[in-house]
Amino acid sequence: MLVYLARRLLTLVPLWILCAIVIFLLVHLIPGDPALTIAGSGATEEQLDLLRADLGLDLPLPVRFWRWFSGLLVGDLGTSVILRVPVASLLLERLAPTLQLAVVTTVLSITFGFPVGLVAAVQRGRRADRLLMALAAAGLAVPSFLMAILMILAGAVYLDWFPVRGYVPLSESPSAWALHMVLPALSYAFVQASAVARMTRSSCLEVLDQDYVRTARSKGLGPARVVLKHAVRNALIPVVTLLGLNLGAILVSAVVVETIFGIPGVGALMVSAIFKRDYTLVQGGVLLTVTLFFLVNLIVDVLYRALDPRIRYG
Amino acid sequence: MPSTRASDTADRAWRRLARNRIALASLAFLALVSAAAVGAPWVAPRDPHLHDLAERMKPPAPGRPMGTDRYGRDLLSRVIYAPRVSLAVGLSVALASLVVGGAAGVVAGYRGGVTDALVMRTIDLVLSFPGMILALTMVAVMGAGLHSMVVALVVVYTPPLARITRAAVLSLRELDFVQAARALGGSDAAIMLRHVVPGCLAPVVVQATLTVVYAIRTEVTLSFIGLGVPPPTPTLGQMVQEGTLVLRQAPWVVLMPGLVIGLLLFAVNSVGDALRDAWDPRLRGAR
Repeated sequence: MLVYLARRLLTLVPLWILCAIVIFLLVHLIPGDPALTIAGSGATEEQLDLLRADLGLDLPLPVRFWRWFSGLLVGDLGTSVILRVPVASLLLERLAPTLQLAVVTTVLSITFGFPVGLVAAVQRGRRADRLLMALAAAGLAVPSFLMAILMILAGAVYLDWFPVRGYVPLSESPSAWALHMVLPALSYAFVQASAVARMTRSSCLEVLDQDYVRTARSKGLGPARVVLKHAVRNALIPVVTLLGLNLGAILVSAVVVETIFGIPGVGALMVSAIFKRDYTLVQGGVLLTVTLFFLVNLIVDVLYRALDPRIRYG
Repeated sequence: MPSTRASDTADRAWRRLARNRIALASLAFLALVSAAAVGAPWVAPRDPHLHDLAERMKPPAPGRPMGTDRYGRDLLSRVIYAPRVSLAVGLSVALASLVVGGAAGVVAGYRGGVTDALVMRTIDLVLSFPGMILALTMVAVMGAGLHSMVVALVVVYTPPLARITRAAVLSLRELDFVQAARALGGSDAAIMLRHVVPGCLAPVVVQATLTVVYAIRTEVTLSFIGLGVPPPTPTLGQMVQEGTLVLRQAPWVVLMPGLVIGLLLFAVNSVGDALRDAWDPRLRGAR
């Protein structure tokens, strides 16, 4: 296990460095002069030069990259060009809402998606199966921003059960926090639950065809016992992989969902940074997302192996 | 003896597809939307840009089946025009990714060695970025617009196509008929074109269809954020975004373009699923 972890980390590190280089190059190709953006069009050429020197914009690209990259290694992501605050602390204080949203969404998508997939697999080819799978196809088709707006329309405007937007920290009031989380989480959970349901159904169908399930059936076990006791565990494995990928996707869709619901998370911060051309913040935000994406996939791989003893730590 | 000729497979696939009622309805819907979008200047009842302040936020009614937005623009006309951008992006991205990714996959899979390693490492690098974040950053770098969106989406959606093509090629490469063609002295290019490409068409075309879904979904989302094709060109995402400003007073301004987005994506998705089921029934319900 440890050897496996070490080997995975060793392959991830060069890839991560490469990603950092790509992000840096990408962001530094953004047209527009940050100095001009900050100082405003009324600034004199002298003021601009001073500001550029202050921001390190007068240095050659490799030097700027090295400054940024050597900072990364000690957790320094640079200073936000617009807000004049360390990027790391900006991102850190926005991380909690995003992660909370990701966890709640994931939990919701399993609670809805997994049973639906099981039912569809057991009812294979019948009306319930076709209905549920059509619903899942619809769920996968609708983009999350549209789902979010439909949620607001139904849950906040017509029913008036939930607040339209906003966020309350968990530590301040758990009940208000939950109330504010329901609509944003549901709007993406619908998409994710659809994916989970489809995956559960197909992996369950595969398992139900296996000899040992036939044996269990011929022993005279009822369909519920066969599915719950024998099939579920093996059907779960591909679903776990999918969940890992989804958790990454959730972090990304946070960009849209957070903006719509006014949740002060990393996603909303990134969008505003892009529009303000705050390139250090964009850079840090993208790198943070990529890093989280890497970590989630690593955790999933480890989990995957823990769940299935047949997979060796090769 | 079961025939394995490509035309027979396609024939059987077509018959299976024809039995799928959802897929047929989806095809019909897509044909309708595409025809309306192409012929928009003749089909649309009103000018989609025309502001009519006397008619602001009017609910759907016989003369205006979808109502009007906060500038009094006719929503039906705008909804007829708006899919132009989505369809153009979806089709061009899928086609470009198919050509680039397919070619890279065939060459990497058939050649192997350094070429393969180079292609695969590049794919790994691109795939290590979450797609939406990469697209978002690239569009921000290049400036919002049709051109930069297509480029960004091609970069994001080419690697999966290359990977699938490569996997298909790898399994084909060692088969007897390819080995025989090689033994007969066929050139690499000829073998790839004549024997390898037709064999891996099915999974690749299915993935390309799904790419249309992903590309349209990302286009709509980017337009919603404000990084799509800029106004005054109507796009579905931007229409929804404008509608959120009057969500309470005029919910139809969001619902009408929203409905089109949902149906459009559902239709393309169903066609993709049906194609996959028709070509390979074992994969039914898989993703």
